[in-house]
Amino acid sequence: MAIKLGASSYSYQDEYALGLMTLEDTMAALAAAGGTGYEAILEQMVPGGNFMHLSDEFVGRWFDGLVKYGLEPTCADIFDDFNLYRGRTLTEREQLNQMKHYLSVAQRLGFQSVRVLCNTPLTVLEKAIPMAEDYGVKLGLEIHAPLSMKSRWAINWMEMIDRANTKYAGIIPDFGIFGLRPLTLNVDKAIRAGADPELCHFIVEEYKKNAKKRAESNQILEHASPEEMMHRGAEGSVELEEKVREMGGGPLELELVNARLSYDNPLWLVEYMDKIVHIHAKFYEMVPDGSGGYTDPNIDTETVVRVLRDNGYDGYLSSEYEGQGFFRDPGFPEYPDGPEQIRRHHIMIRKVLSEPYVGKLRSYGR
Amino acid sequence: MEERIVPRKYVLCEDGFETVIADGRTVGFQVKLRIPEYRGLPLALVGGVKVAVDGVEYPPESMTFTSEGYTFTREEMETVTDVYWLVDQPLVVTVRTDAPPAPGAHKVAAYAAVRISYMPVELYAGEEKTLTLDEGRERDGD
Repeated sequence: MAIKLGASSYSYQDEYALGLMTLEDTMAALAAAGGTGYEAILEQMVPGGNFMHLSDEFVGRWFDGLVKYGLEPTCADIFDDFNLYRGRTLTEREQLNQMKHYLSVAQRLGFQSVRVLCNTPLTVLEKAIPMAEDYGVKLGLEIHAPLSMKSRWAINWMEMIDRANTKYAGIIPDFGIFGLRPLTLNVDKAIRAGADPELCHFIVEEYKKNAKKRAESNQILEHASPEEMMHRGAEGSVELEEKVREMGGGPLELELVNARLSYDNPLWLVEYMDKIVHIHAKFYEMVPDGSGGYTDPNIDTETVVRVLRDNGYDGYLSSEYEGQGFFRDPGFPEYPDGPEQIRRHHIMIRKVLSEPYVGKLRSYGR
Repeated sequence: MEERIVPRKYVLCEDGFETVIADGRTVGFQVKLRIPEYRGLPLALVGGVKVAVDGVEYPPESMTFTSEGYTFTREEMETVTDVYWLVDQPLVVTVRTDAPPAPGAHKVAAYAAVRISYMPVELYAGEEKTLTLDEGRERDGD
């Protein structure tokens, strides 16, 4: 029983797309950070023609790389492109065929699970469970912000799993559901565009104060569907918006208020521990924590990792560096450094894991 | 569907901007675009591509699109599900025009929209840069 560290190929996306890193380089970078679990977005890392018809050459290169760097495949991130054709939605059977293809590729490349997106219809997922059992690859439905582990939709899925009595279906919590504040990168962007720094600071502090309140209200509201949640602002954002308007806030500041943040109670992870097949340790920006280590001000990673450790989570924390996407905004002069961000994220997690046990956490939030 | 343009780095490639020559005559130009997405997508999911040189926009009917060795018109591309626009291999856009730009420096703008199942709007993401148009090699009019 142990928590193991890995990373998603998502974290190296620009380096890979711009030809600065090869598939093997991303493996080497993960190994250098001390990680052992390689998560991949298939259509990113598997060459196109190969994605449809895997070649022995590619499969050989894949496993050679993993062996060379002491890695194992963890999760393959898959999608439901039900909008493949303009003007009509794929039928359920077409979506299941797509799913079957993903599962077969994932199996051939040795992945233990696939991440399915929250917009995959539950009716499709229910029928995919027997397929997943056949391929021996677990289906993990991603619980992604602003959705919640307590969303009606997530609970419906977990009830489906119980009814199917299967070990091949579960959830993949994404650390974005433990968001503490409007993203540092978004605040920087707003200020660069002329937002009032003091007002931005006020919004951030209000959000931080409300994290716990948001978790509690998530528990009461059983949000029906991903669609509904996606269009719902964070708890308390209506009141905050009014206040920010009164204080003279314009569109730039209001955009920060409307960040669709969510904060689930980290202790809920304990409730659903037996359903977790994999974890996306999403992060945005690793900054020095003032005591020789690093932290991400945006996500309550430390609390969540402590809860997972203290309650015996046995599996991967797969670091997903989401922040690099922001650097494609022409306003950001810096260049993203995926390998360095992953290294820092692993340092932070290892530090938490090595801290002495001080009794089970009963409350949460920074 | 609502159409929006957003700035995004790395879409327009620095290399590969060259004239297209057929039978000794310049019939257009080519430009290479990186996919504005973190994963490769089948060409059917490409919602649209916009290319302008020195402010002159070219209609979609004047373009063909080449990926993984296959070339399609805009209309054909809508049905292509097993040829991908890969993250590490730019899409080659060939524009046929009676008035091709002359070799040399030009202001090029390129935007591409891809349909993402979890995004409510189709965003045209791309950028504008000054690129040097090179003389292309002779090719048989693909």
